[in-house]
Amino acid sequence: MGILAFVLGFTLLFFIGHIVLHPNATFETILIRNFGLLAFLLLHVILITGPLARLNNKFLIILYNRRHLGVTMFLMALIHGAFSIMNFHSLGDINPVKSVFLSNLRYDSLIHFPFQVLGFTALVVLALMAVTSHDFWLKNLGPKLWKALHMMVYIAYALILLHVVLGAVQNESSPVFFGSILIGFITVASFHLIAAFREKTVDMPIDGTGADFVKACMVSEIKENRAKIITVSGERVAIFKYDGKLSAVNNFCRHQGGPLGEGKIVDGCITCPWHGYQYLPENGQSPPPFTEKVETYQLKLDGDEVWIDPRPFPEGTAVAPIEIA
Amino acid sequence: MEQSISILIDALGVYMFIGLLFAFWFVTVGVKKLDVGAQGTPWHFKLILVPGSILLWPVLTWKLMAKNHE
Repeated sequence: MGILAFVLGFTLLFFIGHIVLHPNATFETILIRNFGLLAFLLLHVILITGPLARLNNKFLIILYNRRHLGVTMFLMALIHGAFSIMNFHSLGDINPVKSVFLSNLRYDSLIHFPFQVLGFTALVVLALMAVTSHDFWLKNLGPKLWKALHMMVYIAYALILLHVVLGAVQNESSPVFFGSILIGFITVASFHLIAAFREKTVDMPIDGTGADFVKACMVSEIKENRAKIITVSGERVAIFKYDGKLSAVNNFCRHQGGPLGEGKIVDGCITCPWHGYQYLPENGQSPPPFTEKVETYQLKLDGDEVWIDPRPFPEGTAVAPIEIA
Repeated sequence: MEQSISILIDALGVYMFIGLLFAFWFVTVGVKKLDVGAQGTPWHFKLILVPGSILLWPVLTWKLMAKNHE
């Protein structure tokens, strides 16, 4: 409801503002600009949600609603694209979609580049993500393919940035317009870099190639019913401490890719901080009737030092927890 | 170049048409073969699957074939 209210409120204000500032603009032009701008703004919010939530738990609430934002953003982009095609490409005797690609072939010109092709391609990428946002697709495509598909949001963002900038070059001269786009890009890039830097300093990647066991952390570094996340041989692993025991599982929640190691043990289960999906720490399996499984790891203790075998067991394999002396 | 783009868009049209036919079969019959959890689900859930089935019909076909070989 909140998203719908925002969209309606924004649209109302945009129409009023546009009519006042550009009284000669047609209804279709205002519509196209409104929904294009809305989609572009929402995409920025979506892109900074992940890093923001990693930097501060207070922003997890936005993360929970990211897929709703994503679908809404796609619908906004679809309205923008559909009206653009209807307005600029459906009046001739050529197929409107073909017209998008064939009406301007000046790919060798930066100033006259066919920017609509970039927008159309981005729309296809956004469509793939929007139509697979339901949990059914995550389960049946598999987490890796689903994640790869949804990481394409960065390709879509790059295409949309080029679409907006190259389109604006042909129609816009306001420095405020170009400045706003630059600020948006810097904001997205900065949040990603800050979150990545912080993650890297916390994770302390360990190269476990060829080793039987590598030192992961100290027992005292892990709080009770919480985890220490380490990166071993390129995989993020969460080592949980609970009831005087330690267990290690892959950090990637099979539901939506949430960071299990940032969750806690609730009722004896590792509980994902994003949507509450649960796994038993000793075997990485969701309690019945759920069927999600994550990879497990063998740990050993040497005094206060926790050592881990970098080779994961298959998803859902039972591994006896190690007792803390 | 124009001809290549034109052929590519025609091919995409054929892809989408096959996807549309596949989606009708998938949401009525195929989905239950792929995911037993989809049995008895309401019509609006199946409606949500239609756009994805149109776009990803080769992946779903491959998944269904892999499931049949299990």
